[in-house]
Amino acid sequence: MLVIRRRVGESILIGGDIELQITDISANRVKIGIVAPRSVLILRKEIQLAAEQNVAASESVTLETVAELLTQFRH
Amino acid sequence: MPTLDTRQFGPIDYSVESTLEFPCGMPAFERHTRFLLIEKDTYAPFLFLQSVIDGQISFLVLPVTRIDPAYQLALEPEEMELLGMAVESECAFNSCTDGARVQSTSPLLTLVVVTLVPGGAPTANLVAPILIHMGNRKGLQSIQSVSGYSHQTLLPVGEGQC
Repeated sequence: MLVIRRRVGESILIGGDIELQITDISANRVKIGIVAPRSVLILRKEIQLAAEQNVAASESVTLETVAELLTQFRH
Repeated sequence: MPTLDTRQFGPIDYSVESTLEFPCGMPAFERHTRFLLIEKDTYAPFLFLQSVIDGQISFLVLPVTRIDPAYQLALEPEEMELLGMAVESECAFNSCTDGARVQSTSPLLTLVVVTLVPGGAPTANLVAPILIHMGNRKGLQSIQSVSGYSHQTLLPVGEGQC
């Protein structure tokens, strides 16, 4: 992994058309401004994980599986 | 009264007032901005979060307290705004790094999405709870990034009798 030190207001360029600018830093988080073409997908990584879990969840639901789950679920 | 042809329950009538508005949809389901919460005695305490945009899409959900009565929720100011909640003044500043703690008197219903894997153990996603403001019927799926919760928390199921 490439690690680069930056201060507030400084930027990093990736390829020809993506710019990441550090806009603010506090004790345990940074605020990053991103300039990129509309075609580039930008996601917080944890959202990607939630998306995958949502797809799996929506595909797994049938009334039969829920009925089976109810027989085991401790009320 | 509009009718929705659902995958689980066939055609159901619903009132527009009973729909929930999810301004951002849910991750991977961004265009699903309106849902119904379907409650059936047969399936209690589980509920079905049914997309109004597409009757084929629904989620099995459960109040988080059924899994973890001490569940801790931290909300970002942007999330509180989306839910139409007043943002605590001290959290309007950047120094508020852990999100606002939600009071127990909150109007929020916190649900977790259940995944049933064929042949596997049922799990619930405690990292990404569904929050519904029962006052204004706005909802969203929040990501509790630094919570330490698992997106595949095992449901409390067992062989024993109740």
